[in-house]
Amino acid sequence: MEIPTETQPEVESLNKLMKKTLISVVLAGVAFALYQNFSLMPGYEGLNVGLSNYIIESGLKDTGSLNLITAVLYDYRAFDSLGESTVIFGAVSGIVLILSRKMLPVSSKGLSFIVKRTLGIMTPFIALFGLYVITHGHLTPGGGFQGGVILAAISIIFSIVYGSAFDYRRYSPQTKTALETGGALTFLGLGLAGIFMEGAFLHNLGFLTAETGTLISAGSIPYINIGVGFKVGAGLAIIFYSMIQKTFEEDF
Amino acid sequence: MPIRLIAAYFLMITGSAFAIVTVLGLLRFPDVYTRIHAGAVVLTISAVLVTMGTAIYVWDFFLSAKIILIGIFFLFSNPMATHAIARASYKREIALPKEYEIDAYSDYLGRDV
Amino acid sequence: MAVLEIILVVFLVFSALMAVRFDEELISIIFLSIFSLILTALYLLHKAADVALAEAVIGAGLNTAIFMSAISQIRHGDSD
Repeated sequence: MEIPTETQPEVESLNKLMKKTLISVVLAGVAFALYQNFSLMPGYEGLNVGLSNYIIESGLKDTGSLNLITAVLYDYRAFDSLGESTVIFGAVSGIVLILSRKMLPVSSKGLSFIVKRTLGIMTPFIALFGLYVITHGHLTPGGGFQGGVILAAISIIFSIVYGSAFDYRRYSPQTKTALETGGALTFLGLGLAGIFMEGAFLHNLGFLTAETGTLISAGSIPYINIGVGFKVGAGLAIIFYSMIQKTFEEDF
Repeated sequence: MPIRLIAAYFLMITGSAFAIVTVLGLLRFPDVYTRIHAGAVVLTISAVLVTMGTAIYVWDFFLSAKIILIGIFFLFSNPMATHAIARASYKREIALPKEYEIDAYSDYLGRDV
Repeated sequence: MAVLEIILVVFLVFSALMAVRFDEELISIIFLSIFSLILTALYLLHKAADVALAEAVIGAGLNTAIFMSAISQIRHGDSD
């Protein structure tokens, strides 16, 4: 049987051409869609008029939050923050599905005695700083996301320095999953409370506001901060924990 | 210029000089352990001096206390990190410690582990 | 202020180029960490403290740890 050796490269090149054409068409379509989306955005009107001026002038009066970025993130655009939290939840679910093979990871002995003692002194202060960044998100720079990542760093320190079995004993994956789900449920519950009390999803709860500048003021923003913080911290800790299962076996 | 500002600038300039010495040591020393030595000893005192100078410069009780806390954090964390790096590079035999005549750490490890 | 900003931007571009240029993964990760650190300083210079905090924590802290564990898994081979 004769093999048509001449036509094979032509089919290959034709396939390649088809692929390139398809990719170009898809890219052009995406570019056109993005351009249409951009053209829908309102133009820049300067600092003293428009939306940014509105937020700067009446953000404190509307939300009671001294940090205007937190006011935008968790009051004006709280629905977007809910979407970001859902994205992190999807990433954590995917990584755990792909990477986690068994419940108990391979343990390691950890680093030397000096490092263990020194981090034993410093870790409570790191935890305190993370909690400070979370709970003062509406007063000082920071917020739920940043403080949550600082809390996740504690879990990373435990895994590397004290061995992953220590991290498993202290904060087991069940605890982390419960914390993450609790954070997400806090966020959603505050949104539903906004429907029932104020009439809109994730509306700021007015009866929780207090004197501006105190710790529990600014409506539901501190509670959303706490929920997002624990959710992000537990989620990133789960990601790191499921990635180190077969590594760091040697004792350095 | 008040004497407080002069003291603050003196501390900051001394810390910066130590930082320059650190860079010189990192560039000029031959292998891993001596470079780690430069990074540990001189960089720690440089960071502590700069934070002390900043604490004197702002001269407000709570701000100075926070900055001094950052300096104490440096004083703990930098030698600890350097120790971890040096131990790991010794265990991995990155710079061949057998070249040296004196290798006290292997004796220590033989006793300890 | 402007001089400091220009120096930081030059070092930012330099570290990004170095991170792309090296073949060794470890050196690329270290340069990405330096990139995040310089970007943090630039954000602070422009008085965006929230973004600076997020960049410092995520870019210089968490990303480095996760990348390190990833390349450590790659180098350990594909045993089960």
